[in-house]
Amino acid sequence: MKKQWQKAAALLQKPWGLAAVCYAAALAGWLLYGVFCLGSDSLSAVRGSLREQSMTVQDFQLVNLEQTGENTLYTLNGDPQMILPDVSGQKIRSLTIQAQYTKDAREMCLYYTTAPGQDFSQEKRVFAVQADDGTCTYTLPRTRICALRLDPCSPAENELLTMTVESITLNAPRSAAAYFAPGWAGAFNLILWPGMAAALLNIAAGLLRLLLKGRKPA
Amino acid sequence: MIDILLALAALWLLCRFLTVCCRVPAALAPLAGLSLAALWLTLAGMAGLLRPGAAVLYLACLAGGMVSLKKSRPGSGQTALQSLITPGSTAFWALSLAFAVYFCIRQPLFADFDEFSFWGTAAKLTCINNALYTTGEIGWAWQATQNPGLIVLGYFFQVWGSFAPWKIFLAYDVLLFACFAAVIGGTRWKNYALAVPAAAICWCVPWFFTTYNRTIYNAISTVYMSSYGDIPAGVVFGGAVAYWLWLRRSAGRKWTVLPVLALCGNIKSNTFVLSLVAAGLVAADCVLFVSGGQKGFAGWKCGLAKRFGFALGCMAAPLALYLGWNSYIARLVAQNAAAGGMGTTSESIVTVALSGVKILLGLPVGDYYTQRLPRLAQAGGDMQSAFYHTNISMLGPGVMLAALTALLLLGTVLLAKGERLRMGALSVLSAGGFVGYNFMLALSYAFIFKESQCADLVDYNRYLYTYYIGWFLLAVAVLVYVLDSRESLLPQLGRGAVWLLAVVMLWRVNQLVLPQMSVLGFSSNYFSEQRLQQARADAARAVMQPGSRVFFVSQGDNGYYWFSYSYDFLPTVVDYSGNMEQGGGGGTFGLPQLRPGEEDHNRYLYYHPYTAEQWRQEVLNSGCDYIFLNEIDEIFIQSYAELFSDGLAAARGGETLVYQVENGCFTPVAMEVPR
Repeated sequence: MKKQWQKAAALLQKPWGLAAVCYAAALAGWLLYGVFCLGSDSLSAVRGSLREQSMTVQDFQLVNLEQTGENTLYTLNGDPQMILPDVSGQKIRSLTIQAQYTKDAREMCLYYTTAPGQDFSQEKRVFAVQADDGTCTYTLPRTRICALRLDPCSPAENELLTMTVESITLNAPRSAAAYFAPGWAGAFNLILWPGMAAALLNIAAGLLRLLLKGRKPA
Repeated sequence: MIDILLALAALWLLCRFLTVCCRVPAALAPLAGLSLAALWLTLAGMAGLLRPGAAVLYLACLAGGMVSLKKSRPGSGQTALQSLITPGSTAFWALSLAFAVYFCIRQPLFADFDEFSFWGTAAKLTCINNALYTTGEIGWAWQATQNPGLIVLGYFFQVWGSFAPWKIFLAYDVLLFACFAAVIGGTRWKNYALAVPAAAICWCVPWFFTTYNRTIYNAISTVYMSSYGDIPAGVVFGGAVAYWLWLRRSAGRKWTVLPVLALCGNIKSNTFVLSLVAAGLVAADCVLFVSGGQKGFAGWKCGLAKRFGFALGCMAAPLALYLGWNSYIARLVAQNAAAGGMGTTSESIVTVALSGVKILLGLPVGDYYTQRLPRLAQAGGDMQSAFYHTNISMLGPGVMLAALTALLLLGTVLLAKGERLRMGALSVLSAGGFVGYNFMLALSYAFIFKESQCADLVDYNRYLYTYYIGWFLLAVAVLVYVLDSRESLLPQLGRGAVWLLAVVMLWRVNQLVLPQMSVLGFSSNYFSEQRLQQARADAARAVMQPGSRVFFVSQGDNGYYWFSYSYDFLPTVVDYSGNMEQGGGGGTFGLPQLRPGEEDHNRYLYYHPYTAEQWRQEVLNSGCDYIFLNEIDEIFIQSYAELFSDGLAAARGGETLVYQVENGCFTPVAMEVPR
């Protein structure tokens, strides 16, 4: 046992030691988090609290939007909103929307609240990730979600538009592999941050060494 | 992709040669290699020998690589490997290879106005013709004059393959990564705690200094996916000075800084000043300070003539290339004028600079300048105000950026034990360069740009962030340079400060730039309009005879579609389509009496009033074989439907985009219209 500790200490003293430990920890953390999310969602799905749900325009409270057809909405100003006032009875992980716009949709985001009666705020909103076919997916934090407000577009002044909603889905199905796929930005972060962590630890260790050296009697 | 692999392999061999045979540190070799390639291809292009020049370059890389593989170095084996694989060179090659694979998969396209009006189109023209864009046939009525450094670098990466915009982005990014590697410079592996945050800072710089709004609108951040020259100009400016600092500490051949300085002056005409600042800093460092040897005045005098000669060479490198390019352009402009095109260009930046100095000294200047003196005063005042109040970066206005850079330089001076005077001189001179650059920009607004551009300080941020980027990178480079060689408590705290700065910059970039709206996660859907446009151009070209010329109609256009289709149609030439007096190159055609009101901004401003017969003659006189109708409206139908054999029925029905010009008549051509 003592030998193993000595080996570990020797590894940390090598230039690559800390970096290797940080990268291994990040990879392990990422995999464990994936396992946790997959397990938790699977369990919720079995219990029935997490289920895929197709929505229609009629399911939402429309603000600054006028319904002009079964699936078509016309914006009345630059701040259209589609609100689901109470979704607290179920777990919501994501909202996916596919829609066509007659003009530039500009900003799209999804607000959420985590307690009943809470106001929507800029601190609690997520932005869409657009797939190559134009489908937008909003991934919510893994917390209790009480209400949702979708801002499907933010037309510019004098550029009001018509949007045709093709589909809106809550908790669109996700493959098991998707829980472990970090995405391009995630992969970049998995390379960057362990390196930064190792650098910080290295600097801290260096400082400590210098301070201890300074205290030694001459 | 094979062309990209060949280019990277050639660059690797060249870098190996520079490191092994010229003792250039491995982290600096990519910047030297790319600069040599750009210099050689610029000269070959000007001589009309771009393709053979590229072939010679590839062969030279191969030969150099072979020589380096054979040459045994003192301390070969493990030591040789250590000299090739350093934090800087590793960062460069890892990022370059990762981006090559990533862009090959994602294939981003050009999307911004100036990419179609110059940068992207010039790159495509150069690649498909295997000749500089200055000589390629295109519908522009003017002679392209912009410097070719970046364009030929883009060509270097696709000499042996077909043209693709992502390869241009890759070439630009590889150049940026080479400069980042130069900033990290000779940092050793045992100091990776300094190299990693320094690399993270470099990575953030192009965003940090150019973005001041959240990128939550549908428009994505095009940083690392752009063919504009502004960011590379700034990064190469900082990279060139960083290159010199680390080169001087090593035993590398000093002449290798010359092509880097030449590239710095060969990126954009209006950032040429930056190359003079970089060359001035290198020259001053070379003349004023002695590395090693005897101290004091006697030591300074030793080898002064040689150092002075080298300093002159540093100043001459960018200047000679710039003047050579200008004389080449002057010859082409004269030829263009003789062929009926525009025979004039705006005032040269060197002439403007000389006149600016005369104005400062109170000496008389010509009428052109005297008449525009009020503009100079206005631009100067507005720029001063913008320095304090206009947000141009993630940190706010220019004053904040200048303060941050000054803080880093001050820290460097404090930490640079034994080299304080040297670092102090570098700081003061680079600050002087900043003032000079501002003065040049004010002169440009007053004497080169249009009056409206001067009044609104158009693109102020884009012109100025170039200097901030270079200046900041220079400051980071000198800080890393100073911290790399010190082991005591204060430098260790300095390393902590660099780490903290990196975290703050990463946090701020993450705050304003959503990953899904950036190079790290953009949706391919963002480029769907460009893809559709390219498909429409390809479908139209498929029904045209080879070598045809196209008359372009896009009602309501402000020039964007004319430029972008000029790019999409290449090698088929889209005609200027209209004449200079009546505003050609995109716009709205119609009878004079049908001109819409000012509320219809684009149609009103870019209106080409022609009677039906005038328009018919315009098309016939243009020598075009086909008319491409990108967008028609009621004004066009009412004005010219009678000139078309079917009264524009096929175009209105969406059955075609192309009409053939035949015996003075315009007849529809059957085609599949992409939707």
